[in-house]
Amino acid sequence: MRYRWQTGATAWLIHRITGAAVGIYLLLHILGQFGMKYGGLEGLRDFLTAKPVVIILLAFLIYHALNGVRELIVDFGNGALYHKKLFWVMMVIGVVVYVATLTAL
Amino acid sequence: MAYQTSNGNGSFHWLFQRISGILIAIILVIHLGAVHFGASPVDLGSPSWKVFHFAFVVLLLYHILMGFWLMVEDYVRTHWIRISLYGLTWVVGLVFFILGFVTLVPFGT
Repeated sequence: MRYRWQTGATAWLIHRITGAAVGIYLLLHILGQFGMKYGGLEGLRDFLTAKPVVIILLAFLIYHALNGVRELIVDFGNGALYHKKLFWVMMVIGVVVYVATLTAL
Repeated sequence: MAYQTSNGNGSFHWLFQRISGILIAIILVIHLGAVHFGASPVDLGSPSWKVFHFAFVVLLLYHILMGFWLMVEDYVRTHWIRISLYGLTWVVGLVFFILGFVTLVPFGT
């Protein structure tokens, strides 16, 4: 499949990539909690809570959530008329939320 | 706006991917606030937190695996690989449903 590098298609592609990564992280998080309950998998939990991993996770998560909100506005509201502008509004909100979250880490 | 659903055209999944996404976003903020960024520890073994987290697991599994399913639909052309990956989706869903259940239900007891 070929992608055109326009705002909407690029936002959608990043949505998929971040979604896949966050999805794998959360499945591993469930697995890690299972290990905590029944013993074992310390290495997995150490990996999931390692600072670089958490820093990347939060970036991906915030992107995926905010672009998801943008998609909702496009699908259920009149966001299709201004979806590109909306993308950049979401990115600004995302950076603010990201910085605030990293400060609280 | 009215949403017509019929079997097999994916419109229920389209809608529920959005509904589950909204619910996950709300639950995630509460989860992060209470468990990971909370100033005071919460009792995760209490029945209400168990129900909360089990609902979280179920919604996440749906949302993650539906996302995966859609990617298989879009990218995988070879028939047998496609069928195998659909099967894998179900296996992962069932396994993690059980993992989540046995982790959460006896949690704290």
